[in-house]
Amino acid sequence: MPGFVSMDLYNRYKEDVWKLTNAKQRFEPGKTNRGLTDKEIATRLKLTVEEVIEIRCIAENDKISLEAHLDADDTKEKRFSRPPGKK
Amino acid sequence: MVSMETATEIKEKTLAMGARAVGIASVEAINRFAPPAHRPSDQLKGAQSVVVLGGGEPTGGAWKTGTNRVLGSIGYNRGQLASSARQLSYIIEERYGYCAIPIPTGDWVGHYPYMSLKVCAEMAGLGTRSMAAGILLNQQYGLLYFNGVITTMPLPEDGPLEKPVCPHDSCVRLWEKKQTTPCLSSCPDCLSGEIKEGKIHWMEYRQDCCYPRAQTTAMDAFRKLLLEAVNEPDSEQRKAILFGSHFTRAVRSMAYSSELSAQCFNCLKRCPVVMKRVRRLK
Repeated sequence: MPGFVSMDLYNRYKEDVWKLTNAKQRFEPGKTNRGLTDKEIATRLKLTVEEVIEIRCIAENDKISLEAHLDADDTKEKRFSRPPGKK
Repeated sequence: MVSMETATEIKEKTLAMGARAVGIASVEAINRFAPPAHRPSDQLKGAQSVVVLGGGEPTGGAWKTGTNRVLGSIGYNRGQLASSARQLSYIIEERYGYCAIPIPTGDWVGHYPYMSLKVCAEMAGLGTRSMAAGILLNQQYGLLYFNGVITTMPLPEDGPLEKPVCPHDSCVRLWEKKQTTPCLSSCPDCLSGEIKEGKIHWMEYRQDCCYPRAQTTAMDAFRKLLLEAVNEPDSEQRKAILFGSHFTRAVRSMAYSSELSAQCFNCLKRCPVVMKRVRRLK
């Protein structure tokens, strides 16, 4: 795939690609849970590997808000001094 | 297979070069978990073993810093283990005559790594997965960072630990009383899970939620702020974005390769496995 992915293709597939990545990880002892590789996602969604890489890479930024970065320090400092055991 | 004496010699050299812990995993064991394209044998043809280096963790005192910002700034040094891994690669080639490469530890593309250091370290017996984002906990040091060397040398493997390091007994007691653990209660956005019969039953980790906390001023923040500035039609507001503290920190982080990752530590700050080392200090 030369150049950049079209935003039309990105918007059509970003949620499907995102769900298959390792953005959310589950660990259960004795079981194999993992996000799919770009090639595995491409096979699953009938896209090319290059298209999946581009869509995943853009989504990794797009799905996290700027506010999450800007607010992070404040959140971390508050939790830094919170007593343990509080739900 | 080379002798156990040779493996011991390599481990001693690795520790002398600055690693705090070292273990050996077989590529065969790693490949049982690592997906195609992200296996040691994808990075080095004919790879047989991975020597995993652990270290670079926060000092005991770092956990007692007054603010999260300070802990995030001094908690992790990316360079030290990478340097040791490169030196070890040269030693394996020159002294023992086998091909060796340091594990490529940058991101392959986006948030995907070349290969999982966590799987390598787990298979090398350097720790087991924890409730805290599946971070590997080492029984002696608690938190460790990892690097390693992939080699064609057939070394005897250490294999994974038999007894899980997490959960600690005190976490099991807390779970029975309050259905939470220090790590889960520290970061309920990123983490969820359940302990059953004294063991991890399941754990879920939202990496997308963790990213802006662990990499607050790193590459993703830089790109998001840059896009915000480019899209901002008002020149004065554009100046506020580009000259403001967030963009300034992001530029500085990248320019100096500092404060790029491991900027949070909330989930491990009260982990009893980590804290047992700190408590011994005056």
